[in-house]
This record gives sequence, structure tokens and C-alpha cells, in this order.
Amino acid sequence: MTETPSTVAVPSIKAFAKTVASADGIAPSEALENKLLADKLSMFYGNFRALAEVTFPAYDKKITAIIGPSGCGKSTLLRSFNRMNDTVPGTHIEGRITLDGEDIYAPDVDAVAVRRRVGMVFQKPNPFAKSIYDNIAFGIKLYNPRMPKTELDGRVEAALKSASVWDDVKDKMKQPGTALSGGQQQRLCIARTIAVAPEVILMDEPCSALDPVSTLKIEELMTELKKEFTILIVTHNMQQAARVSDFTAMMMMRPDRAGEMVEFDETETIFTKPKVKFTEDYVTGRFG
Amino acid sequence: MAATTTSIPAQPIEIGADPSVRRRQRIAGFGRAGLFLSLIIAIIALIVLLLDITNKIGGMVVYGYKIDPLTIVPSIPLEELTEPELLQIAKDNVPPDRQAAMPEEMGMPLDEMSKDDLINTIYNETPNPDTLTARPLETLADQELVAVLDNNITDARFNQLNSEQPFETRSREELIELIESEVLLESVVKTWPLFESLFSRPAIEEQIRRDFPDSDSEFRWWLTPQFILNDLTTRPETTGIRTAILGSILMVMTTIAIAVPVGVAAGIYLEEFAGKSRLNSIIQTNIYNLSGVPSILYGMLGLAIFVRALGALTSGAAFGIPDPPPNGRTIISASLTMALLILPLIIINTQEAIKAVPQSLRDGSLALGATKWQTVWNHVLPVAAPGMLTGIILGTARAIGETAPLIVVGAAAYITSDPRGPFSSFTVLPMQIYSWASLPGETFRNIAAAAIVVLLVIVILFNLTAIILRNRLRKSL
Repeated sequence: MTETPSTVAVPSIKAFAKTVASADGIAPSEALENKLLADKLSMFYGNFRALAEVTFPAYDKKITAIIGPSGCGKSTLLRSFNRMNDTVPGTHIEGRITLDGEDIYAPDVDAVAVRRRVGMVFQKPNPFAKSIYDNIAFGIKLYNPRMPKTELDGRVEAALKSASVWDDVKDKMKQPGTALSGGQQQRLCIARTIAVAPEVILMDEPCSALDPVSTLKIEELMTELKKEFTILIVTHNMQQAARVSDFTAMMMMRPDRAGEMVEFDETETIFTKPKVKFTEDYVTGRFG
Repeated sequence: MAATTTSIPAQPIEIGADPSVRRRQRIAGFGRAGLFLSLIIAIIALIVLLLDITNKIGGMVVYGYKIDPLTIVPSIPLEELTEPELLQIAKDNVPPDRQAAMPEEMGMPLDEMSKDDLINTIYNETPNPDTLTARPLETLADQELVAVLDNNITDARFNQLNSEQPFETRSREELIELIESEVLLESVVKTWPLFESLFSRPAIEEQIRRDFPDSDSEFRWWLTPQFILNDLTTRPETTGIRTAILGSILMVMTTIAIAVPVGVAAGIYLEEFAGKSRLNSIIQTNIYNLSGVPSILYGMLGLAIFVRALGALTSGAAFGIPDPPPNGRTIISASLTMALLILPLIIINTQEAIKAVPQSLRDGSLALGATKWQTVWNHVLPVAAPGMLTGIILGTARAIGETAPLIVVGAAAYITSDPRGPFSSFTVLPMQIYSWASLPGETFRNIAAAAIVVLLVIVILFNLTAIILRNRLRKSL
């Protein structure tokens, strides 16, 4: 991945995606394990149906990109995976979402417990109004309130290193997280997320507020993180989806404005020989 | 050339010759001037207010005695005087027409009278014969001064003064001052405003020499350390507002202690946990309405509930405190009333402050698996705290300056004992100012002005503390 996004012209996406996918050594025959699975998931805001019977898997330790035009429910779908939609009054779902086969919307499952295993990085960097150190330590202390200081320091450092932001912040741990640049803030938020050791990381357009250099750093980071975490990413950037993801879910908005899953496949397939005309038009930039 | 006159000119209009721009800029200029004028009016009003108050806190005064000093000092019995001395006194004090009538009535003029006749004449012909031989205060010995004091004030007051500082250890000047203030009731008979006293002092002194030739006069401040530290008395010259200051501070502290936790908690609940329901929007509307209810109504409410219905609790009788006041007219009643009064203010400001916290902060915390409570406590409240403090500042300033509800709830207009706790009778500064301002007499205006300055300083101190705290909170974010 040496090319920057700005030098990649749209027509060359297919070829580009192919090289990325083959470099990662994905073979269609590889045995894949379902980590997250949306099973005929419909999502309602009051009476309005935002998602219509979406079914697709997120494989363990793979990056799955969700693409589609604005308003088709990508973010809503993503926020369903850690039950963030619960915070919006009047929402409910039909169908199921399972994490390792367990229904996360089952009556006896607490959304708070789900979110520990399914972390989230948001579109706009949202560091807490606290020091860089406390930004990371907060999550760790949620689960280990009495962790000794030295161990906590180690965990904070490890998380910052994993999010490749340690070198940027190691000398200013007491400074507020909001004082960092946008890209550093976003990596801080990723560090914050992985500090609590989730199994899945949801990323909602994590680079849309960042410049190309910061974007590239985060993409490299994602490739690194994939070794340990299952990642779902919503993106509007076709090149980004092609570069970083192993699988891609294509969504669109139906005439009744509910979002539906059009196609799900390996990223290479989606970008080179999609089965649906809409997908082909969309990924080649003919509309959308 | 016709093309250049169409709606889109090929040639740009010459800069500086565009009438529409000039017109719009002129309107902008008027608007700006209007805004500036409003600011000037506000500032002038404030300055006039402050000058008016300042003008009364000091100035030239003339003193006079309510009691004639000669009536309280020991006098030499006429019998002990020599004949020439008696003759001199008679000549000085018997009215001339009576002196002229003496030879006819008594058979001889004053010069020829015997000692006894002179004494009789003096007793019969002068209005205050005892004071004729009175010895001025300045000539008395220390023990005599103490005796004068002892004879003319109550034993209780005498003992109190003695226990404050034994008379033996007081200097002559102090003793004379004591007599002047305690017995003679030295008081200010005329005052001049501060600025006049400062800038046209010679004219004032001239007037004093003309109108009050024998009286003491001086330039004095009404706002003095004694004024702040003294007990309340009925005399403006010596009164103090310590009791009122302590009452105000104690009442405001108690009010804050009640209203802030309740108001902040209610605000947090309404904003973060209550959700959206019809009931909640009704509650919300009513909180806004309550913040506009006239304060006297809160006073009526406080009187009915805290003073009357809950009198046993608010007087402290139910808690077995020794020597409880006979009714609920105590600091705790006033504080509860004030707390009700400022609750809407604190709730609304808390809600506004919480509303201003970006949703993304809550999302970030929730996404880590924090509970709603942890999110609110760790991320929402610290960010909202400075804004919430603004509401507390406003509430405090309102509580410390509010008078109407306290008049109803029963702040005492005259009380000399300091408040010792929430179950004490009390007075507060605005109450003192109100009662002094309604009394006749220039000097009461002066001490009312001095008390206003003290009240302003206390309000400023409270606000300053809160602002410093707020800035610290902001910095720590």
C-alpha cells in the first residue's frame, strides 16, 4: 500500500483492489468463522423502518466494509451491532444479531455487556474532555477499578502503541486529548477502544474528517489491528474499502427508504465482478 | 455600448460609486450606533447608581447632644461658694429685668445681698440653678467620670461595658467618649454628601461656624470597620451590621446547601434520564414558569408552610435544641424559601449546561461499555460543571439580595444577637437596608448606603469565588 488515495484514479480501482486482496492471501476456499451475524435484521425508528431484513456475516479477524449511498442505513446497521441505537428513544429491531452465536438482543443480555465486546470508533474524533492518559485509562478502569498504577500505566502504553499513537503522545500524557491533531485524536480514540480489549471494532467512517496522510495511517493501523480484532467499517471512500477490507457489503435504499443489503462478497469480487448491476455502477462511480 | 447597460455589466461599477453599498453601510452604521448607545445608557445608569450610593457613605457631619452635659455632671453646692462668686453667678444668670426689679421686691440690689439671700435669689430667679455650678466633663477626675456613667446608664449596661474592658484600664478620653455616646447620646444633627464635603469643604465649614458655633464637626465615613463589626443599635452613629452580615452569609450558605444539590440533581435527571414524555414536558414548562413567579409569592408559601405548618421543625423544637425560638421565623425557614425561589434558576441552568455537552462524548463513553450513570458522572458532568456554576452564581446573587420573601417569612428588623445556627432568629442585610431606608432622618440614609456597599461587596465576593472555581474547572478540562 504505497500509493496515496489522491493518486488512485477511479477506473483503476478494480486492478488496485485485486493486488491488495491477493497480497493479503485471501482465498475463497479459506475456512471462515462467523463472528457477528445479522440475521434478517430489521430496524425501526418508531414506525419508520430504517433497515429491511439485512442478512450478512462479519468474519473473525477480517475487515468487512459496508458501502452504499448516503441515507441507506449503513451507520444504523453498524450501530445495531453494539446496540448504540438503544440510546435513541423509540427504536426496536426485528430479526437477530448474534455474536459468536449468541443473540445480543436477547432479553437477558445487557447492552452495556455487548459494548464491552463490540467497541466503536466514530466518524468525528471524540476524545473525552480529559488528559490523554485518562482517555485510555477510563475504559480500563471501568473493568478493573482497582488496577495498580504501574499495571494501568502499562496497559495505557500498550493500547497507545497498538494504535500507533504512542510516539505522538508519550511526552504529553497529562495534556488534554482535545489538544491533539484530528488524525492523532482519531488514533487516540482507536487506542481507547482497543484498551478495553473488545473482540469486534466498529468504525463509522473513521477517516471522513481526516486528511489523506492521517487517513493512510489509520488504514495501515486497521490492517495491523485485523490480526487481533474483527473490524467492520462504514465508508464512503470506495478506494478505502478496496484497499483495506477483505469483505464488502453493498447496501442501498429501497423505494420505501428502508436500507437493504444488495450484495455481500469478498471485496475483490465486489470490485471486479459484482453480481448486481447496482453494485457495479456504484463501485465504478457511475452514480451514487 | 448597449451591452454594458444590461443587468450584468461588462464593466465593473466604479468602486466607491455604488449607491446601494453606501446605503447598506449607512444602515449598518445606524444599527451599530444604536447598539453602542444602549451600552452607554446601561453603563451610565450603573455609574449613577454607584455614585449615588457612594455619595452617602461619608461626608461632613455636625454633632450635637440629645442630653445637656451640664445636667449629668456633679455640681458644687451653692453654699460652698464665697459671696463674690455667688454675686458673679447671680449677675450672669438672673435676667436683667429681674435684676432691675430686685431693689423694689427684696429691698436691696444684688450687690448688697447677704450670702443666703443670693442663694435664694439664684434658686428662685434662674431656670436651672443646679447646672450653674456644674463642672464640665473635661475637669472631672477619672473616678468621677465612671461615677457619672454609673449614675446615668442601667446597671446591666454598666457591667457589660466594664466586662468589655474594665473602667480602670480605660483612658480619660475613652471614658469621656463613652459618656458622650452612652449618656449624652451624642448624635449627628446635620450631614453633607460625600462629594460636596470633598470639593466644597470651606463653604461647609463656614456654614457650620455660622449655624452650629459650639458643636463638634468632622469629616466622617459611615462605612467603617466598627460599622461592619458592631452590634445593631438604634443609633445610626454607633450601630453596626455584624448580625445582618452573619445572617446573610449563614442564610445564603444554607440556601446553597439545600438548593444546589436538589436543583442540580433534578436538572441532571430531567436532561439525562427522564426521556421525553407528556408529563415531562409539562414539568419542564412549569419550571420555566416558576422562575418567573414574583418572589413575594414564595414568601407567602414559606410563611404558610415553613413558618406555620412546619413551625415545630423549623424552630428546632422538634430536634430538642435548647431554648428554641417561639415560632418558625428562623434561618432555616428563610433558606428553604430562598431555595425554592432559586431552584428553577439552578435547574434550568443545569439543563442548559448539560444540553451543551456534545452527544459524541456520551457515545464514546457508552461505546466503551460504560453505564449511563458512569457516562453522566465521568464525562457529562465535568464538561457541564462550568455552565452549572453559572446558574449557581445567579441563584446565589438572587438569594443574597432578595428582600420581599424574607419580610413575609419573618426576618427581624431589629435584632442584636448573632445567629448561632439554622434555628436562630435572624436578620439579613437587605432587610436592614430596607428598614433603615424607611426610617426618617438623614443619617439612616447614610448607614443604609453603607450597608448597600457591604452587600455589594459580599455579592461580588461570592461571585468571584464561583467564577474562579469555574475557570479552574474549565482549565482542568
